Amino acid sequence: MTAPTAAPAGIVVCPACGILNQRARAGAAAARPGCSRCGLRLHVSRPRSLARTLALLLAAAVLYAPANLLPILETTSPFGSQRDTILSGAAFLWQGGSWPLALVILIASVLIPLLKLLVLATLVLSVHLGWRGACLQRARLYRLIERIGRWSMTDVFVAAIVSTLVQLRGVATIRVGPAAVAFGAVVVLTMLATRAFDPRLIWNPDLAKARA
Amino acid sequence: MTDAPHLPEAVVVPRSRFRPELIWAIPIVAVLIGGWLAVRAIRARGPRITITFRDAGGLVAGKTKIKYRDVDVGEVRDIGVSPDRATVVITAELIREAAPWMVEDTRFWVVRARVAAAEVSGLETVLSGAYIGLDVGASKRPRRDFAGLEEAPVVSGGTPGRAFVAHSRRAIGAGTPIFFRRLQVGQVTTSDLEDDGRQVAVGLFVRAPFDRFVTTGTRFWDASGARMSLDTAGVKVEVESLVTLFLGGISFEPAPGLEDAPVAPASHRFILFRNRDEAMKPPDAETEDYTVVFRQSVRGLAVGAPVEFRGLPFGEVTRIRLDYDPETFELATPVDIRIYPGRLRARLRHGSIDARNAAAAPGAPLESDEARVRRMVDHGLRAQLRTASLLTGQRFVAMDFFPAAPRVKLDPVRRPREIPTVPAEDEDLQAALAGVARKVGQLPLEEVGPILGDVRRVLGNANTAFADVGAAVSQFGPSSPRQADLDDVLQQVARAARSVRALADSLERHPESLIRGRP
Repeated sequence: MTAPTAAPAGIVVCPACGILNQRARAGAAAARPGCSRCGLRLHVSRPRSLARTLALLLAAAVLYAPANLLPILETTSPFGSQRDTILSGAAFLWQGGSWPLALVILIASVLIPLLKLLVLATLVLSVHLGWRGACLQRARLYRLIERIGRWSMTDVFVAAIVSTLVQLRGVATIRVGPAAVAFGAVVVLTMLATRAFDPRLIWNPDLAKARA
Repeated sequence: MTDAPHLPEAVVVPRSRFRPELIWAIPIVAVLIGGWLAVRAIRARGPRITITFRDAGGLVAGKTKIKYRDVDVGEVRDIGVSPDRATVVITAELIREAAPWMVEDTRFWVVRARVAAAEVSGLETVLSGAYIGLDVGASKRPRRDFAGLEEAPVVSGGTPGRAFVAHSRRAIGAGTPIFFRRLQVGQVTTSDLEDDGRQVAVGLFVRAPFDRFVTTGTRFWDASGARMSLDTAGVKVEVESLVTLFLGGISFEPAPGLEDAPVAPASHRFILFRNRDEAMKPPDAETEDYTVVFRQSVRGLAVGAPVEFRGLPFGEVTRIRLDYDPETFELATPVDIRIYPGRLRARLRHGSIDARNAAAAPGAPLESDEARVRRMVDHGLRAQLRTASLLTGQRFVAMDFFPAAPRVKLDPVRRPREIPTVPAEDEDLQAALAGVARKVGQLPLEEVGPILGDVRRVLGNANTAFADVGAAVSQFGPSSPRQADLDDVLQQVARAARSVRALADSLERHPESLIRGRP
């Protein structure tokens, strides 16, 4: 803790309009502090950041299993009906020779969600244990998962688009399997978890303890 | 703001540390959903079974389905080869509902596109690939390893109806339709060669409710193709239906006189006749063998020649032998015949001799075959060799009653039993002809030659004599009437002499014409 931060000085920045507000005195702690200019509720750190992140993270982790084990696409055609999971689809593409496509699916749909889950778990754990080292690396990891988070939705998009396009009644139909819902939930939940995590806790784990 | 009464300051109530936070509902819901999905997946997991096939043509692990009545009930998981390499072993996973179906007599087979005689089936598999068909058995004993059928069963297990067996000379393709009054009521299920290799056991399946029309008096016949017959009644063309013309078929009907026979039990054994006429004929299944001994030439008699009773076909010749007595050198020709006594009994409108006997004298002891034959022989039953055609010389064995025939004693031990013979009527005619021929043969033809020489000499002398006479006659005047008469006479004599010479020449060339006339 070398550089001074706003929190000990009693200053809270409004995330919406950017103005600096003087924190209310201790006597007014029960009242809800708001931005003096735009009225947005102000918090020193994001409220119950760790608990929220952990809850969403757990939910995402639980749903990650069905998302990968259940079929995401059910194809019915004169050539027979087929149920493909994400992994079997990627394997099929790989065997079919289009390994770049298989790689894209593998990275976007399997590795990125997994990466997000692991990174968030690491961050939550580090804050909870009050680590003080490798702050810069952890901050970079956080920025990484915040940026790539939305890209893992490609699989769900593909499933949604294909299933609406290929509806040749009686000849070929493609239906979205239960894994698509689970997978979408995983992506959304990890994004929410990322948002719920307050990156300032990386630099100042005491902040979380103080709030809790 | 100024002199406010002194009021106690409000205290900050710390938030309860155990206030349930709403955010934790999300992982709880996620766990619930995930758990439910997992439970569902585990519950849906059915039994794993293994099926062996001769080959795995068209089967793909992870893709080939197992279908029951066209509903997916499982999937092939793994395809391997048995340790002895004789079969392929297929491991399949079924849905949970199918677990109780896996019993002892459940059958599996591979459905591929099939263009069989009577139908085109499994066309959908051309695009989708083969699948494994399943027919649930009736047994209660569970089973997990099965031997797959190579051919799809024609009739699925649940179809109500009854199976029968028909013995046929030739195999009938599985799936061949069975007709009853031109209505398709069943199908041929199997064709298996019997152990002795002589006949084919054809499995028939007749659907309910038509199976009750199959009685013990029912006759089945092969209705395949068209049948054309040419006989004294003219040309007859029979076609059961267009379907059978091209694809074959089996028909059945009750035999005449047996319409009220009891319903046949399942797997009753029938005979598959070659055509309707044969089927409707009284059955020849019952045969009796006899021997008739001829003491004459049996030239013109062949194996298969008919045995007729008063002109009705009644049996056939099965064997012709030659016997001789080593002491007397007396030759005899025993001819084995097989007769179909049923053809005689048919007039009695009973299925069997037993039934007739029972009807004739209820409670009376049944007459044995031997006693019956002896009684008939006593009444004059005899066999006779007769000529069927004077042109070809074919002969047949005729049976008839000759009440005037002398009584004979039959050898009671001899098998097959003997029916005595009487000499053929045409035998006498032949003997007479042979006598004539013998007499002709005895004619002294070789003595005719010298006589001919004498005749010629005599004629030569006559010629010179006539010349002398001519010289003498020339002394008569040319104009005298005696001369004219003489001319006539002489001309006639010369003509006669010419004729005699011609005769002599002819006789020299064809001496046999003395007997047979001019060639």
